[in-house]
Amino acid sequence: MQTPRPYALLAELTYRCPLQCPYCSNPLELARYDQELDTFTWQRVLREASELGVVQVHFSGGEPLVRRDLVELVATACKYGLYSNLSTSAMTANPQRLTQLREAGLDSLQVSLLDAEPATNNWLAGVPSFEKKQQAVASAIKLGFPVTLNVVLHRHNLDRLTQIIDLACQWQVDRLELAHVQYTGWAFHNRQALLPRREQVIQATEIVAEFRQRDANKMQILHVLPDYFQEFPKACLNGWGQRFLTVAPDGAVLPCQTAREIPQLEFPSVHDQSLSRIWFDAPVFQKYRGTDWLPEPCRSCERRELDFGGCRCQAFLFTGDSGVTDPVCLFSPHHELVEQAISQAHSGIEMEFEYRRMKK
Amino acid sequence: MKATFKIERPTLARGVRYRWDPVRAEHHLLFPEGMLVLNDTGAATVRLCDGRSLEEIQQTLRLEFGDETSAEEVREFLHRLSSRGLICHADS
Repeated sequence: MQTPRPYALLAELTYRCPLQCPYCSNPLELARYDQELDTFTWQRVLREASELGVVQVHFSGGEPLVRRDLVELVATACKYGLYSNLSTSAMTANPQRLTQLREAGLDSLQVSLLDAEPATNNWLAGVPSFEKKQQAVASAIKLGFPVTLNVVLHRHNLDRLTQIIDLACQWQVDRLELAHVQYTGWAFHNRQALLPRREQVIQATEIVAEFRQRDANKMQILHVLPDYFQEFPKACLNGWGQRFLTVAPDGAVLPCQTAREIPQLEFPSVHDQSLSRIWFDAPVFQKYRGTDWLPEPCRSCERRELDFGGCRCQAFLFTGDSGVTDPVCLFSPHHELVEQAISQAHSGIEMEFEYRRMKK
Repeated sequence: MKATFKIERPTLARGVRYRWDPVRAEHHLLFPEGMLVLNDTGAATVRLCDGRSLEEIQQTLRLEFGDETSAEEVREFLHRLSSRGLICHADS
């Protein structure tokens, strides 16, 4: 089968961030990757991405706003006809900076919020941030940006889902993305303290369904279901090396932003090769591309074209082998590990989480 | 299910835009969290969503594509887009 071209690029401009969210998807060893690409190299990456077929670029991090050249990079993306989105904590998104981004051609803005309750938001972020987020969302909407509010869901905020939805309506955002924690990176490290109870998940699903029935025209809700509580794994990235690629702050090119979890994999760098060469030829992109590599029970499963065996990082984190069926799947021989993780997280010991910090 | 599309003057919602992809020779509809690949009729339809009336859109499409594009199909297509928040009423 012919290798498809990627549609989306996740441009992780930096791992630096003013927030310390305990469920961050960035790697634990943040300081190991502190040699960030310069402006010129990012501009080359954006050009190569558009030539390769990328149509959307998601500027992310860490906090992309800490990069002084962000406006310049957005302008470059715009020049190459890329649809650009900025995922931000909005801590330093003042009206002046937002205006510059708007003028540079930024298409949309995704602002994170940790909880509807200011005190809990600030506790989870590790720093006071609620008010700044509120102000940034208001400025962005005034400037005409489409705004998505992104709330990551877990044990400590799921019980306030109704308030979260109300707040998003009140702030008049275009979309609310409710994404349950994906347990990789810092989130895996803090899993014990973050995993919700099954009843919380069921209730959340009902609340979203109810809102959609009642107020569908008020606001769009995207609800990313928590895969630990599903029967089948998600089609992670629509398949490895199919539609999506990530360039990390140091220039490493990853099939997915958490692939660094898997120590056996070697990632090529934009310093050494073109993006196109990497996408089509690098062993790490070939490794789990398509369905030929699939192990049993996936190989003979009728769902193999639906989920491609699930998430490689999750398979590794549970079993130490990134080449097995995602244990979230009911048919996985390791499925009991998922059940164990859920029950252990609620065995009565309320664990504390560790904040995401750059350790030197 | 019969479509219940009621928007009289459809327009692309904030942050939604059409783009021709020269690399794959495809029509794309891009929005904050994703994209759709459109066929020629779909592309022509979204490009007409600029505040003109649904009737005008249907008429223009008929002129361009002939009878292969039924008014009902156009209505259903727009209904699907609006349920995903991709188009809205011109004044809203």
